[in-house]
Amino acid sequence: MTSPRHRRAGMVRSHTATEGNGTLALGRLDDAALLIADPHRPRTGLTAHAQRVMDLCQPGVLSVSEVAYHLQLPGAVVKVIVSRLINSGHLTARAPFVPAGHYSEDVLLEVLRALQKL
Amino acid sequence: MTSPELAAWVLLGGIVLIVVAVVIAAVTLFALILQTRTKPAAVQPAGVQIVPAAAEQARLEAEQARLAAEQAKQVAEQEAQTAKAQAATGWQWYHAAVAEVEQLCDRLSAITDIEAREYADVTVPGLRHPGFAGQPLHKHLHTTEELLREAVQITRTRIAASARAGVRSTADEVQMFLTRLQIKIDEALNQFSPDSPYTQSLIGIDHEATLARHSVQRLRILAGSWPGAQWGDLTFREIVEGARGRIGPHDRVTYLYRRQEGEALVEGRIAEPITVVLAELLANATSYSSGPVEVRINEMSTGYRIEVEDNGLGMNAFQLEAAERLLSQRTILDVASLKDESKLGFAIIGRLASEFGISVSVSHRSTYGGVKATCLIPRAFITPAPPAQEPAEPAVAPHPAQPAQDQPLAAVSPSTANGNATTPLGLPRRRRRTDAVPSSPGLLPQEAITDTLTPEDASDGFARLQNALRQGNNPTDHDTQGHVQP
Repeated sequence: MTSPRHRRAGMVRSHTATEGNGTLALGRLDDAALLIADPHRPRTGLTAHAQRVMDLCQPGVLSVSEVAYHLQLPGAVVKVIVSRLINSGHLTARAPFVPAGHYSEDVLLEVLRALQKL
Repeated sequence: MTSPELAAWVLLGGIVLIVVAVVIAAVTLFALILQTRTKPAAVQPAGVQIVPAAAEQARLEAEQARLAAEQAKQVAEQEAQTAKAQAATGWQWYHAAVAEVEQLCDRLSAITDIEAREYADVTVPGLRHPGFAGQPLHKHLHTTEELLREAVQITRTRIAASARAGVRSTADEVQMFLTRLQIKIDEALNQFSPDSPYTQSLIGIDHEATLARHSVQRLRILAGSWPGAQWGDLTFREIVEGARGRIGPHDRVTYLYRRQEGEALVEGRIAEPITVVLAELLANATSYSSGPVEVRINEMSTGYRIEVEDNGLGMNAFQLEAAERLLSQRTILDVASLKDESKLGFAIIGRLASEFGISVSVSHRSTYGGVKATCLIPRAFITPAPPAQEPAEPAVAPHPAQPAQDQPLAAVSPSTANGNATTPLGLPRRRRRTDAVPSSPGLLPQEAITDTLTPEDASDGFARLQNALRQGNNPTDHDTQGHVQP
């Protein structure tokens, strides 16, 4: 991890990464949405960051927030890039998991206690 | 009493003597005549002999005195002539010296034009009278000129130093505020979703803030300060995209991204200088051409070369020579060097390049007819990109120990375009991101910590946790394999 004095975030600015257009190409995109890359789609015409997103998603599946961390870009900017890739068919988005609903509060508290013991 | 006066007195005395002698002689002659009439010539011979001798002597003396006086007069006249001639020569020299001082005024004026006003094509006039060359006067004039030159230089150096210090501190401060503003913008962009009405405004503000920060930064660099930003190791992709964002027409710049070079890491301490250099090259390319500007990075044996190509008119030999000269020297901001704003870019590049060991050249000809600027970054500053990751195949079989009832994940959209990326249950398969693990320690620190768990590992971990819960206080089970990746 780099120290705050030696940061990576902030070098690439939002207007460059989004090409000046901050509107989402989709209706909505969740931070936890999972992204799957289509390896067969040609990448010509994609921006450097879009290509990097494709590379990041190629070996497996990444969530939008994970992509944002890798790119060190603000969430809104990453969502704009990702939404364009989804729109062009390079990426497929899957709705995020909803795991918390299955557990009661008691179970979760028990888990917490057990974790503290570990 | 001077000799002419003495001579005059002698002359006068002589004349008086002669008159007295003549009178005496006349009286004596008259008495003798009377005597001879009364007494026939008894004493005549004696009287005749005495009187002419005295008169002769007096006459001789008078003659001598006259000659002496004549001689004295001649000498006096000669001396007067000489004095007159000397005075005339002195007068001529005086006029010549005055003319020379007048000429000095012209020369000092010319020196002021050259030294202080920096006019070109001004020549300092030489001596008006070549006869003064090597004379003390000439040396004094030369000393005066040197004093003027020195005074101008000292004043300029002092003013430049204080101006630099003022510019530097102000620019440092403004840049710091603008950097903070950028951080605030990024924070806001993290908070708002892209569908919020603020996002577009924030992106617009970001562009303006970035341009302002760059303007102030180039000023501080010329004022002798460091670029003023510390980064961690950055990829060429981030540097090129960062530099692109610092110019107005960033949409005209096309970065031909290739993973092999684009993901190579540049050492943090020269990341900002390279970004500034590249931004200046891009600004130059976009201002001298109207079409697209292409950026590509090539790996060379000595390092990595960033190429910026435009399709403008190119530079003529004179411009090229001026640019190369600025690129090769360490220009420091001077009171006089701000006047030509268009040349500042090359001066900034030259300064940073010499300080950080980057070599920049604009002498290549672009294949599009314009300028191809190149910037070579030595290999010592660069960590090559990790090898490319092939698209993953489902290499591992579904986890056999996966209990169905522990599966906390719900498949929301079972239909998928890519069957390889799903588990048999129709869930997206999450795989270890092997490319994120650095091949050597510290190679890719920013990627190493975001290793993701496979669902199978996670469920394994939860199974262990459940065991721990059932066993209650069993401190021996410290297996945290499911939580910490190797």
